[in-house]
This record gives sequence, structure tokens and C-alpha cells, in this order.
Amino acid sequence: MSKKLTLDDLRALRNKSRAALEQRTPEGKTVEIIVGMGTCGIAAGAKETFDALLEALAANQLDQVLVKQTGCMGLCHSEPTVEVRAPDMPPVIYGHVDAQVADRIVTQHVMAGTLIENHIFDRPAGDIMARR
Amino acid sequence: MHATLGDYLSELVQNALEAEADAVTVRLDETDGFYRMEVTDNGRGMTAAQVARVTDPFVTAPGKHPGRRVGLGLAFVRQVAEQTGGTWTIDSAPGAGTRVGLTLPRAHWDTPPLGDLPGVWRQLLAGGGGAAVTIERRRGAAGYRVTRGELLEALGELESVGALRLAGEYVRSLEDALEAREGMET
Repeated sequence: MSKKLTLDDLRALRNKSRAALEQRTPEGKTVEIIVGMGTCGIAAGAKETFDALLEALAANQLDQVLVKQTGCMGLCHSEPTVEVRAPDMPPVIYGHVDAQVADRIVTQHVMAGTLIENHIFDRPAGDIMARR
Repeated sequence: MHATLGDYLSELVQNALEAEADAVTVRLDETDGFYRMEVTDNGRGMTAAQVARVTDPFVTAPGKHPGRRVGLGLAFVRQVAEQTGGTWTIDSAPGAGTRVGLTLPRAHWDTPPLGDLPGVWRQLLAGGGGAAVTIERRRGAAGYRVTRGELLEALGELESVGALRLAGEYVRSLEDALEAREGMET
């Protein structure tokens, strides 16, 4: 068992990793991932999705990515839903995001800039993607 | 249907946020063979007529889901209380906020497990739409309290993966210490 941390420990850990926390993409932009946490999302496993995203981002040392939460996105039939806002890409909403798809969102969308077929519920127009 | 008690607590906090609360307190007490849960908020509250219909699955707060008439959160709460021999309560008044309580027998076959509590605490403390979320956890004579405000003060923010990871380590250490203490007492 790890030792019980205090808020002072937390401050020290924060200071130790401050450089990483403040890191941003070269243009000062960063990626935002927003997880739907309404009744529908919770019942469908959004908590596991949230955890899987954090795990995948940490495993790939993407500490600068922001992970936010929101309520129902109106896509209850396709929960858990996740919106990804990345620099130079249009916002994309993915549905049926289990832990495996969450991992793909990190490695394919965030890291490689490619969309994940069969999970897009708000697919950006083709011409927008073609301009990338 | 929600799978863990953490899901129910997340549900109740989400309701509080959608009621525009800027302070939410979550209590989880695990003593005397019961899980006693309570979520209190200072949101806009409800009239007696609204309270009377909160567990109707075909009723939801106006404007919450445009064009939809489904509200399952408190229906789930009532259902789990009824199927385990537990109890649930709600107190609410316009402008005064809402308090929802849920008590479930720990030993009942149909009582959901707690789930990954540290993960739930991290999620609730980091989310919250800026609301001052407080977690108060007790197990027998021991317990801990953690607030979003103190985590923000220590970490600077609660949205980056780095900060969320540290917040997760912190609440997990509190929960681990609680378990270890109970192990020493039994």
C-alpha cells in the first residue's frame, strides 16, 4: 500500500511535474477531450471510459491533454460519448466509447490525427478533413 | 441501470449540477451494516409538486433535455432502495437546494458494490462545472474529507491528465489508509 499523501505531498508532486503540466503544443494549443457524464452515460459505463482515457493518455505521456466532463449530449442511444477537440481538426463526437475505443481515440485521433470509423456520431464534412 | 454505488453518487451530483448548484456535498458512511449516502446541493431546488414526480421515469426537469420526456436518475435511486429493502429520502425547496439520501443494507444480494471509489471521487472533484464539491467519507470511527478547492489550490487546475493523475493518487491514498485502519481495528 502506498503511503497516505497529504496536501503538502501533492504540492510537491505538482511542482516536480510542473514543466510537464504546463507543456502545450508548439502553437500554444492543446487537445480537449470531453466525456458525457449524464444519466445515460453513467449507466453505459462513462466512468470506465473516463478512466481508460486517462490511462491511455498517461501511458503515452500526453500530460498536457485536457479531460473534461459534461452532461447528456443528446446522444443517449450511443453512450458513452466522447468529444475530441484537437488543433487543426474539427470537433468530433464519438459514440459507444468503451475502454478499447478510448485507447484508440488517444493513439489514432489525438496522436495520429486520424478518425475512428464506425464510432463517429458527428462526422465533420469531408472537405474539412481534406484541408488538413 | 447503474452498476455501482459510485454510479448512483455520480448521478446525484450530475443532477445537482444541472440544477445550477455551486456547492455540492457528497457523504458516504459505511457503518452498522449499511451504506448511508447523501448528496446535498444549493441549487435551484424544487416545488412540492415537482418533488412528488421526481421518480416518474417519464418526467424530467424543464429544459434539461429539449424535446425529451425521460428522467431516469431518481427512478434508479428509488428502484435500488426498493429492491434491497433500503430507504431513500428527498428534501427540496425552491431556492434552498436539494438533499437526497439513500441507505442500503450492505449484505443484501442486490445491493450494488461500491465500485472504484477513488476513481469516482477524482471524477466528481475534477468535474463539477466549477462547483465547490466536497467529499465526506466515513467508515466506522475513521474517515476523511476532501474538497475540490483544496485540490485546486494544491494542483493549480484539475483538467490536465497530469493534474488528474495526481488528484487520483491523493484520493486513492486516503481510501487506502481508511481500509488499512479498519484492518488494524478488526
